[in-house]
This record gives sequence, structure tokens and C-alpha cells, in this order.
Amino acid sequence: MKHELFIEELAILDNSKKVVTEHKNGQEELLREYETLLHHYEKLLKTSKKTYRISDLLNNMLQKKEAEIQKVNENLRIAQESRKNLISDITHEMGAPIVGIQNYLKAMLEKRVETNDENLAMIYDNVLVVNHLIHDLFELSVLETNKSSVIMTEVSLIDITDIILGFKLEVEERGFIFQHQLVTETESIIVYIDKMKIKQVLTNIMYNAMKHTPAGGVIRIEMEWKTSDETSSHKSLMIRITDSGSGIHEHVLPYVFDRFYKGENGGTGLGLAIAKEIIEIHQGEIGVISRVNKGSTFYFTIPVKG
Amino acid sequence: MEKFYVEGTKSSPEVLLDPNEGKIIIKGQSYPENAFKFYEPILHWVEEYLSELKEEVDVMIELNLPYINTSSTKCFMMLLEMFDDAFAEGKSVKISWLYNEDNESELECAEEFKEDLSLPFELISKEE
Repeated sequence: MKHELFIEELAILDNSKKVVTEHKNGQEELLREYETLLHHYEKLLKTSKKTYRISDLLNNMLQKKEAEIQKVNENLRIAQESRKNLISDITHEMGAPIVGIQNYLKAMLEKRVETNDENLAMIYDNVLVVNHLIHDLFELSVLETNKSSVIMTEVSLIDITDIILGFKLEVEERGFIFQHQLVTETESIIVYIDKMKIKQVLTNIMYNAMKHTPAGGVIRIEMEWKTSDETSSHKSLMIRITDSGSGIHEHVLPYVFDRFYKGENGGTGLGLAIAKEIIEIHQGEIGVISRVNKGSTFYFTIPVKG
Repeated sequence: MEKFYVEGTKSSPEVLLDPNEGKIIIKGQSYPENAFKFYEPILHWVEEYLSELKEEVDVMIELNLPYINTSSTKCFMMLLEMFDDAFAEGKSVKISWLYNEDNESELECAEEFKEDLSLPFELISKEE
């Protein structure tokens, strides 16, 4: 019994038992012994209660940690699934244009098809598609694996306004009507963002809007302040881009920000996925409201440093 | 008295008992297979040290235990009782319990340990 937890208490108990059995010198010694035993018993109860309480507290903590670990595991599993899907998606997306290039070149070499400008142009178009895809994929992958590729600096609201107004020329050249409604108190407000990346978000959404809107349609950008529900000191800047285009069916609406979701108008399908990644790194929100034939409104928020 | 040191492991804390500096440090998780076996030499050392300790000497006890299993808890209470008794006898002993701010349970446990003791017992949050 060398390494016993309650060794002291057991020794006391043993001793008391001995006194009782030996029954020496009658009542007085027994009473003294009894008092001593009571004292130690009370102490033992106190110690036990405290030990139970501490044990309960720590067991609770362990359970919470267990739950956290499960969550992390689940997230890891989802990320792994996502990666597997991405690899199969990439293979599929790149496969088609490359097979096209290969077939055409083979046909030309075997003289089954004429090596003329028209056919060469078709091959070139496919090369562009692959290049564009590789570029976007690389960009998305850098964003996802290296959050520090996004560099936040202090940017004034005036700069953002300038970027937005910078789209006017191109939108109008492509035959759309450009409308804007921006916030007025632009002088002293600073946001903490990666200016180039946010410009890219705007570009991706704008191009998407133009792709889905017939000529003569309206592209409208609005800026407004949003206060969070919890505290009115947490402001975000919301930017909305509305087009008068074909709209998005409600069944596919949850998927528009997914990688390779292309809708009807081609492209790499990565533009919105990249935009979403950028906004999420900025700890903002991104989303879309749309109805078929009623156009779409893409919106995102960037938090303003308090 | 000799200095006593035992390295921390995954399941047992690092223990430094330094009679020259008047420092007692126990740091780490405590869930050894046999707690009493682990703490017995420490309890013996502390008992001897406190009995020889002069009143003018200040002893700093630094405890940092994010997790203690049930058996270790009992050993700890025995240890703390020794310090408390020494304090009652006029010796200068003081406890600092370091806890992780994010871990509410750690703080609550420290408060449980502190509850029935009279000696100076400071709860200090670690910044990590």
C-alpha cells in the first residue's frame, strides 16, 4: 500500500479501530478518540466535496475542448472534400479546350483540315481560355492558401469613389447606361482594405453584370453605410451593383459564388469565387439578390475600422 | 536542503523546489498514472523545508496548472494545506496562481483551491 491517495486518513481510521477494539481505560479515551475521528471525518468530507467540484469543472472543460476538436476535424474534412472536387473540376474545365486544340492541330498536321486563319483563330481562342483559367485558378489558390497576399492599408473613401467612377467610361463604351449613388461624407473617412483587391472585386462583379445585361441596359452602383445590429459603433460600407439583365433563377442562386459556376455566358466561372474570397478575407459579407428577368443586385460590405 | 527539479512531461508538471532562492514552481498539466507516487517526494521535500524555514525568509510559490486530474487535486490540497499551516505558524509564504484568460475553468479551479486557505493567494492571468 505504498502509494495510496488517502494514506493519512486510512492510518487515522486504522488507529481509531484499534482503540475501539482495545477499549482501554474506558469512556474518556474513547470520547477523545471519537472527537478526533469526527474532526478528521469532517475534514475528509470537505476535501472530497472540493475534489468533486474541481473534477467536474475540469471535465466540463475537457468536453468543450472535445467539441472544438470535432468542429476542426469536420472543417478539415470539408476542406479535403473541396480540394478533391477542385482537382476534378480543373481537369474537366481545362480538358475541354485543350482537347479542342489538340484535335485541331492534329487534323491540320494530317492535312484533314486547312491551316487557315479561321482555324488558327479557333485554336488561339482555346489557348486564351486555358490561359485565363490558369491565371484565375492561380489567383484563387494564392488567396485561399496565403491570406497574407492581401495587404491592408488605409484607403480614403475618396479613392474608392474614384475607382467606382473609373468604370463609367468602359460601361458606357460597351453601350450600357451607368448610374451611381455614392456617400457624401467622403473627406475624412478611412477604410482599411487592400485597394487593388477590392478594385478587383468591383471589376469582377461589374464585368459579370455587363455579360448578363443586354445592350442599352442599366448598370448602377450604390454606396451606403450600414450599422451592425450589436453596436452602432461598428459601421460597414456596403456597395451594391445592380443590373437590368436576365437575372438569376432562385434554384441556382446559392451557387453563383461557387468555383466554376458559369451560368449561361461562359468565362472561367472563377470571377465571383475570387471576389468572395477577397471579401471574406476582409471580414465583410458578399451576396446577391436576383429574380429571373428582373436583373440582379450583387452587394458586398467592407468593415470600417472603428 | 538540496534543490529538487523534475522536468515536465505530457502528463506531469515541471517542478522546481529551490531552497536557495526561496522559490517553488509547479507548472504544466498534471495527470500522471499514479499521482501520489509523483507527488510523494514533493510533499516530503516541502514538509522538511517548511519545518526548517526561518520566519524572515520569503517563499514564493508559483503555480500554473491548466489541467489537474482528480488524484492530483487531492495531492495538491495536501500541499496547499502544508503551506497554509506554515503561514499560520508565522512563516512568510505566498502563492501566485497563473491562469489562462481564455480558460474559464482554470480560473474557477484556482478559486476553489483558494477558498479555504488563509495565506496570501494571488490569481494572475497569463498573457500569451
